[in-house]
Amino acid sequence: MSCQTLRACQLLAMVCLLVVAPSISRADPLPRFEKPILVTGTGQTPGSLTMTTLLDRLGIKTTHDPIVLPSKMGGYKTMIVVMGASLKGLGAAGINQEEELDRDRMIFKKARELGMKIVAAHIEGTARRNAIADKFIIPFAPQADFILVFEEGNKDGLFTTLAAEKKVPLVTFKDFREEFANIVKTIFP
Amino acid sequence: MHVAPRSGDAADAPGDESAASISHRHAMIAWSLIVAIVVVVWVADKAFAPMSRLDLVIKGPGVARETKLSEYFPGLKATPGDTDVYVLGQDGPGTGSVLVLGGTHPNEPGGYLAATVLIEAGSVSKGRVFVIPFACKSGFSHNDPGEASPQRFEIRARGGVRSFRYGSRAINPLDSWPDPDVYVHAQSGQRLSGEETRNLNRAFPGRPNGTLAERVAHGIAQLILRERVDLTIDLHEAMPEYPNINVIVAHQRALPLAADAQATMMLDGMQISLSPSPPRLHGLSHRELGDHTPTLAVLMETPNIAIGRLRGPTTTATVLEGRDPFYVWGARLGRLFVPFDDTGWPLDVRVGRHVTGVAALVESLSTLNPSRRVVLKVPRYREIVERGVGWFLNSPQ
Repeated sequence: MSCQTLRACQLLAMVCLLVVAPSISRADPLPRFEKPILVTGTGQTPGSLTMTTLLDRLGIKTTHDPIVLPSKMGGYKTMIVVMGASLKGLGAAGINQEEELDRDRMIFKKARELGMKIVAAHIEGTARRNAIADKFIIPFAPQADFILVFEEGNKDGLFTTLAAEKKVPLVTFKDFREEFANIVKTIFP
Repeated sequence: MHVAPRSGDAADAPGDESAASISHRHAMIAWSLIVAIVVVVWVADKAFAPMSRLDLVIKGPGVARETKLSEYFPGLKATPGDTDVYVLGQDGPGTGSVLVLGGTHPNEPGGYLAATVLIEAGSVSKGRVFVIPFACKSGFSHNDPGEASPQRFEIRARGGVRSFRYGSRAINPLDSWPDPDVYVHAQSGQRLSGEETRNLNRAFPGRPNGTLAERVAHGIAQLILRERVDLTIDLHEAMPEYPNINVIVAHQRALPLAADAQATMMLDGMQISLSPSPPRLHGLSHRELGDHTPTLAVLMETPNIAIGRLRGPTTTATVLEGRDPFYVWGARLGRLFVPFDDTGWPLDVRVGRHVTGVAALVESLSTLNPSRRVVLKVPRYREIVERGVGWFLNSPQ
């Protein structure tokens, strides 16, 4: 094989890799999670209500408790935790961040004790990425069994890094109408 | 004994002709100054008087009735707070009512232009939609020169050019003066900086004998009570570096409805956040109207760089096109709460978002409370963005 042909093959292989690589995670079979499903949030983000409403519209029934306590977590197979914090929700409402972080740690611990699967999600994009919101993302995303992220909120690659640290499967999506709908309908059959 | 001549006598003395001439010259100067002042006042009045006239709103076929806020609170009659109220649709059994507020902050044109589009191009086949396009009427009679704000901007409508005022966030000091050092919100005792006395969105639910802002707020609350308004939507804009942006802020009773509307918008391809109204932040429409009336109170925000801190030169293009290289830079540094690239946030997009948000909220009201149905038809988001807001404004001819 001539040097030129070898180079052409190398180039072709690189192009193929570049084309295929981003879709590898999508091509992997998505995990499946059992019902009943509990939806809650870290940082008391209103995103948990958004997630519940979106899933309801897509025909996936869940139970929503934005400030669930460990004592009320029995009977569920899966917990969806929407991560982030509303600055108006926390600061202006006078909710103590440390108390909320304690609650979040407790529900993750309890979910593990109960054998629940945890889906961590970030669906509110740039609007819910700030220093306070990150306090309610960084400790919890790596503890999940699956991370689902609206791509606009992962521009700095935070979720990619957190997922890679603990090898948690991560799926990002660009729109709710098609990509998000297809993903959740697949993982919550 | 020598007696000094009285001053009056001096005028009779020889050589006093020069004193008379001086006196005459002084009189001439005085009259010249008076005339000059009158001319300056006349010219200034010519420049400022039109600012008290509201922008043209050309009612569309959907408007069933037009009234004034003083119908609901007569204390506003013949004051700078008495603003126009447009009613779309008719009352009837099994129907509800919605109130849309634009221009609560007159330097946030996405809000009052969206309200204007509802009046000029919207129609209601069930229930009623009340629209107040210039809620803080007095705030449209001045602007913020220190912010380099333009006084007006123009939009090419079908059949001609429509001109709109770019006002100030607050009521005109000529109508409400002086500001106290500290503004104390009457119902809660919350203390804010004195200039907030003139901020309508810190005055809710208002007082009949309060400041002008409180009286306007009281008028709006009275309208809500008398017309049994089920849902109140206050349309605003915010700077892209403000965390609460592209958002629906909802009173706790309105959260399920707001989440339902948000889901509609997101599944239709529009990213929008949901934020609960903070219970400790008083005077805002979404907090106080929800607490003091039965209405479900929400507020929506879109990004307006003309009120932002990172912007460069401020021109009418800043308002209309929403583009600025410093904001692109700010986005690269991760300092913004909305995506921002060279396309910016044009007024067409902002108005499109607000109109779509109103439609989604009204639809959710009917879905969640079928006994209080309101059916509103408005231009769709894509139409507004592709054709421009002007397409949906009536001809000034």
